[in-house]
Parts: sequence; structure tokens; C-alpha cells
Amino acid sequence: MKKLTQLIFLFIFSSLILSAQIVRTDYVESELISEVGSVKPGEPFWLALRLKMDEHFHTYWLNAGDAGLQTKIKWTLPEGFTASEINWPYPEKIYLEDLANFGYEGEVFLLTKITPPKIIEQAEIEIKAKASWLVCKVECLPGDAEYSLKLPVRDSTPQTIEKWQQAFSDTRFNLPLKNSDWKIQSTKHENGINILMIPPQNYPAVNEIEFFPYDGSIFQNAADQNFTRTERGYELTIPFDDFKVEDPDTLKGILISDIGWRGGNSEKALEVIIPFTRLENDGIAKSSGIVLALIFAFIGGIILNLMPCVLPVLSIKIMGFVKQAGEDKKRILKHGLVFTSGVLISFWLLAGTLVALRAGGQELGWGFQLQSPEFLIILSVFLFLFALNLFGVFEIGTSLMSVGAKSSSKSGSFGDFMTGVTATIVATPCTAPFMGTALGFAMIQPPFVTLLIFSFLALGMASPYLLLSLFPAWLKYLPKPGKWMETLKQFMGFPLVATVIWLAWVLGLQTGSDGVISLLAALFLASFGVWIYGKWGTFNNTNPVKFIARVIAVFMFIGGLIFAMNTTTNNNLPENFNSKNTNGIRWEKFSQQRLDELRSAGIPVFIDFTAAWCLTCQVNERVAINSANVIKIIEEKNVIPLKADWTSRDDEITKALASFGRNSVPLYVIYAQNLSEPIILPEILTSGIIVDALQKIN
Amino acid sequence: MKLLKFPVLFLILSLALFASEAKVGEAAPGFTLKDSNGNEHSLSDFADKYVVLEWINYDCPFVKKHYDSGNMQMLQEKYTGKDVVWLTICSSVPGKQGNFEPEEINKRSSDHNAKFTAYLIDDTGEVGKAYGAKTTPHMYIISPSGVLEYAGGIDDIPSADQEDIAKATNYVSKALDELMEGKEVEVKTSKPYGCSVKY
Repeated sequence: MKKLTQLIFLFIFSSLILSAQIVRTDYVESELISEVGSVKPGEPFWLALRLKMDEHFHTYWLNAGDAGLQTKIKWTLPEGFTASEINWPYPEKIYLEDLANFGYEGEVFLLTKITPPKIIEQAEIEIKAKASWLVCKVECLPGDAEYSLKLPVRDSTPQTIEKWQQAFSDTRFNLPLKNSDWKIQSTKHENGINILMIPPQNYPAVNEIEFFPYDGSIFQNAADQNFTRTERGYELTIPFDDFKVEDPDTLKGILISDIGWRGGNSEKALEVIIPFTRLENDGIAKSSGIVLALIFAFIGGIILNLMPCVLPVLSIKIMGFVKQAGEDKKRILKHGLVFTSGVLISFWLLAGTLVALRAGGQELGWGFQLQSPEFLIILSVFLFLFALNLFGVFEIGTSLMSVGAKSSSKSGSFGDFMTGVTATIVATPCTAPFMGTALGFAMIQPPFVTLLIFSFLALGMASPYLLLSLFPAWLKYLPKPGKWMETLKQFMGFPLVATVIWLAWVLGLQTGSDGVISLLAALFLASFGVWIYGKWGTFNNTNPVKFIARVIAVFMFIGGLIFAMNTTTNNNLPENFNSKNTNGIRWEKFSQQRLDELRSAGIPVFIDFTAAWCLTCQVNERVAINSANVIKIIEEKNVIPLKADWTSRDDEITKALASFGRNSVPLYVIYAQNLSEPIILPEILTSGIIVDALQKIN
Repeated sequence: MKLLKFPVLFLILSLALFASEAKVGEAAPGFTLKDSNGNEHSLSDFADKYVVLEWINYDCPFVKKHYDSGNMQMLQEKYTGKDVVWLTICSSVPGKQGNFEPEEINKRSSDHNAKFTAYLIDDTGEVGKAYGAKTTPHMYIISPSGVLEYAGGIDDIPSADQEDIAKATNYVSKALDELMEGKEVEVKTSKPYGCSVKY
């Protein structure tokens, strides 16, 4: 009952008093709205100019682009009050033939922070504003409107107006971040600039980044910014306008990423204000760079033989060599050469495919597959089955393994060739983390250089075998075949399992724990399937049994894959991510009583004030709070994490927020006995910020 | 009328093929366009004279700002009086805002008491694109030797509000005055403001 009257009160309050009248002008509906229901002296609060444009019409950002005009607000404030500049959510690029503008279609909230004085004498204050804008479809019309907003003055912490809570929260999420973990630098050339953006490690794939300058007269606003993925990171090239007004020494503007700057589904805009660095000596990378890349490619190729995915094949090949040791020298050399050509041709095919794909307009890095959860799942399942095969759970007559094994034991030319092909195919997934640099370099080079690098990679990989076939005498240093080979084979399964764990970790970074669980379920089904196959599907069973076993095995294998891929989508957090699924941290539900208990017991507390509708909160939880080092320190320091979920406005949480002078989420608070004051963390978190703060606990 | 349009269009198109991108400090791209009275004008006709190019769209609020206030006509009158050739160019393509039949152009021009030398019809947008004209108004000044001396906005207060004109520094008159006094143009480029040219 109390809640109901409160709601009614709030409703009347918000619709009649707190919101200025909605003003309807040509093509635009506008009003001035307040985030809070009252003003507390000395406590800044936020107002928004809400502009709702008719369909296809737009108003402009702070830089309107080639044409247009930024929206302006002129404030008439009570004495002692000050207003900030407009905090602009990031705009969209609107093309008009060959011109481009930056603006907003649909509805936009332009935020302004109002700071009241420490002492306010009136019981109610009035804020007046005059906004002017240009609204355009193709044709433009200037518009303006005046607003007046009355707010009561109270000493208590102001409460937010529920009606606009989501709008303010969403708009804040769309304000450019001031910094990120990315390394960004920009170089200036005669005809334009280049922006290099290096993501932190294991960052999900970015498909599009665009730069929106703060000044509309320096760059060609409509020009394609030539977004590319290179070996260094992501790059943009932006041409100068022919009539550029000034020669800038600093890059000023915002970068818009399709997935965000703090991981997938995070804030999409990032402010960049960075001086241009001197033109880097690209020439070095072009001449000596190629030689260096070729050397690295060769060494990398040798190292490939030690990769977990290749090791099993390596063992097979070693076995092959052991058997060949008694053969004619010339024949052994021939084996080696044919094997090398098999490796070479496979790498050329790969390079050719990549060059063709790149020519098709897709900029691909070698590791591009690892950024797709579907690929990760398929790869993990295959590697896991491979491991089970090595462990001896099942045997398959036509598996890659046996192709390699059989062909090398057959010692025919085709067999050697196929061993080379097999080794390459099996090695492919493992190269990404180790060979990224050289291959990244290869990808941005002309096709010829790409082929050259791939060739050296292939030669490096084949070189130990070629060497052994040239000097077969060295083979005598190789151990004699025997029972140890079976043991080695089984042992080789473990590096594969380790690789699966690594892949699961990469998948976890992209999809959270749900994706990993889906993967594990797929592994379970697939391994169960092959066990059935190994037990009943092989030829020493009767035909019907064999058939049924095989059908079940295939069904479980494919079913597991489909299940895992359907339940895993890249960068998509499950809806109920908020409170239940945060892996690692054992949240307790917040209550004032629990907090008081813990504080009087002297137990340190970390409180996360959050809400499902607060996108910033979600991103913070994902990229900062749930990171391994935060989880670790929370456990080390015996901190009790409390989650205050404000999704449906809870009175107790509202009061707790107010006790910190806040009326919105996110809010992060740390209590500890040795701290006289609770630590309040910033609204945009990194794991480093949390760890640093938690370190202060004794 | 329609028959007449075709050869003109052809002429403009063929000219446009040779047109280069305009750059301040370099030779201004040549062009030949018909005016609202059917007379042809080429930039080369005005060698030895200062030429002002003004991009126009009578229905654009920013153009209205400078015409309704009389600011643009005042500039046109002042400088055509000093032997400057003032070419007002409309690059609105047919079907888009600002593209009018010659009768309508002349009616509006006389209603505004416009003082330009000629109102040129660039209804393919080729000349506008050669000059990189983005907005209406967008102003250019070409020296008697055919060099582009200024490109940019009409003044330094981007707004559609007539009251701002008095407070603003007019870049066009400033540059013309400097040129005529034999000085270097101080502000050679500025950000043009206004509606987009309706290509």
C-alpha cells in the first residue's frame, strides 16, 4: 500500500511538476527532463534535452559534419547554479549523396550536468532553457523551443524519476569512454592520417571501427576510412579535406567500434585526444622486415613440430623413419623430399585460399577462426576426440591419424605426400598463438610475399625430416621401436587435452561460463559417442550391432556439436547474467542487516549496486569484477561480496544508495575495518582499479 | 526548353570530365554554365577580374538568413560595384530542394533584390563537385590570375539566426578587401556552414 501511494505520488510528481511541457515544433518533439525529483544543495544532478525527431529526420552532434548545425542549449539558471557543456552520446553517420553528417535520428537525450550552490534559500527552483537546432531530412529547418523546469529543494538525497531511469542509463552508456586498455596512436601524412589501434590480449574480433572527428573541416567526412586488420592491430586511414581549415597537431574525436572498447557488448564510443606521433619508418618493415619475417617463419616452422597438435603426427613420422632406417639411402631421401613437397603444397593451398579470401574483401588474420565460438567448439571436439583416440578409447580406420600412420608405414610416395599434408592440416589450428606476428605480416603483404612466407613456414616444418633423410645415419640416434611407442602415443594425448583446455579458456573469454558449459556438454556427448563406437562399432562386431553403434555415435557427435553451437553466440550475454551466473564470485544478496552484521564483525565487504537495465553495470561485471585476479583477491582477503540488485527498485537498496548520496547505479563500495571511510570505486571499472582498492584491506 | 537543356547538359558533362578538384592557392577549375536567362558564362570570360562564387539554394534556412537580412545583397552590391564578378551557382539537381525553372529563379531573385552578376544553373552538380561545394552558402574567391584565394563559409558564426550576422566576421569581404589592398589573405579557408548542397 505504501508502495502504491508512493508510485502514484511519483507518477503525478514526474508528469506534472518535474517535466517541462512537451514542445511540438516542425518535425521535432522536445522537452527538458530531470533525472531527479528534487535538488539537494551542493549536489550536482543531470538534466536532458529530449529530442524526438519524426521519421527520417535528424538533428546534429557537436560536429555536424559537412553540413548542418550542432544543437545548442542556452540556460537561464537560478543564482549560483552552473551548467556543464552538453554531454553528447555518440552519433551516427548520415550520408547525403557525397556528403556526410554526424547526427541523431529517432530519439536522443543530450545530457547536461547542473551544479547547484551549497546554500539554496528557495523551497523550489526554476531552471529555464532555450534550445535551438537544425532538423533535416534532405531539406533542413531550424527549430527552437523554450522550457521551464521546477524542482523542489530538499536536504535528502534526490530520488531518480523512474520514467526516465532507463533513458539516462542508456544515454550514459552511449557517452564516449575517456580511456581504455587499447593502445592507440596516430600518424600524420601529407594527405591524411593513420590511426593504429592495438587491442588488449584475447580481445574479441572487431568488425568495424570508425572515427568521428570533433572538427568537421579537417577530414573528408564522407570518405571511406579503410578499416583494416593488420599485424599490428586495427588501422584506419582518413584523408584530409581539400580545404582543411587548419593543420592539426592533435587527433580529436571519438572512435566507434561495433563491439565496444571494454570487450564484447561494451561501450561503443571512445574519446581520443592524442598528439600525432612522428611518421614511423615504414621502409624498414618493408625491406629488412621481409627477410626477418622469412627467418621467423622458418624457425616458426621448426617449432611447429613441437606444437601439441603436431606432436602426435610427429611421433607417427618418427616411427615411419625408424622403420625406414634399414632402407636404401636414395629412397629415404626421396621420402623426405616428397614429404616436404606435401607440406609445401598444403601451405601454398592455405596461402592461396587466404589470398583469395582477402581479395574477396575480407581482411582475415591467421587466427580469425579462434574468434568464432563455433570454430572453437568444433576444434575442441575434434582435438578431444583425437586425444581419446591416442588414449586408445577407439580406433578409426580412416582417421587423419591413421592416414598418416598407414601412409608412412606403406612408405609409398603417395603415403609420404599425404603425411606432409596431414601434418599441415593438423598443425593449422595451433599456429595462431605462436605464429601470429609473421603471418599477420604475411597477410598485409602482396600475395607474392604471402606465398613466400608460407613457403618458409612449410620448409621450416619439414626441415627436420629433410635433414634426417639427407643424413639417414643420424637416424641411428633415434630410439628403437618398441612398446614405449604405445606409451608415447598415449602420452601424446595429454598435450591435446591441454590444448582443449586452452581453447575452452578462449571460448570462456568470448562467451562467459555458459559457452564453456556448452562445450563441455558437447565433449561429453562426443566422447560418449566414440566410446560406443569403439566398443561396438568396430569390425569384430556383427553388422546390426555395428550399424546401430555407428548411428548412435554419429548422432551423439553431431547432436553435441549442434547443441553447443546453438547455445553459444559470440559476445552475447545471457539475459539472466546479472545476478545468478557470475562465475567465480559467490555473491550474497545485499541487505542492510547483513551489511551491519558483517561490519560489526569486522569482515571486509564489497558491494555491487547494479541493475539489469544498466548496461555499464553489466560490462563492469563482465570485464572487471569477474576477472580472475579480482576473484582471487576477494578470496585472499576474505571479502564478502554483496550484490544489491536494483533492477526492480528496492526500497532498502534505494536507501543504501542514498546513504552514499547516490541515486543511480552503478555504485561500488568497499568496507573494511582498517579503513575509516568506505572506498567508493569509479563508475567505469577495470580489474586493476578493484584490485588496487582491495589491496588496501589489511 | 527541353531540347535546349540537352546540349547544355552535354556541354557541362564534357567540361566536367576535364575539371580538377579545386585547391586554395592553385588554379581554379574552369567551367561553363548557363544562367537563369539562358546566357552562357565561362570562368575564362572573367580573366583579369576577381570572381566570387556563391553556392545557393533559395529554400535553405541558411541562405534565407543572408538574403532575408539583406546581408548577401549588400555584399553583392558592394563588390560588383568594385568590378568584382559575382556568380551565384545552384547545384541542386532536378527534383531536389532549390532546383527551380528559370522563371521561378528570376522571380525569387528580383523579390530578394539580388545583385549578383549571374545566377548559374549547375543542375548536374558537376561544377559544385569540382569545387567541393558542400553547403549553401559556400563561398569561393578567385583572383584575376585565376587562382583560388578563398574557400569556405561566409562568416565565422555558424547559425541560421539573422541576429548573428552583425556579430560575425565576414570572411568574404575580409578576403576581398585584403586582396584588393594587395595583402595576403589571412583566412584562406574556413568551415562552410549551412544546408548540404542537394546533389
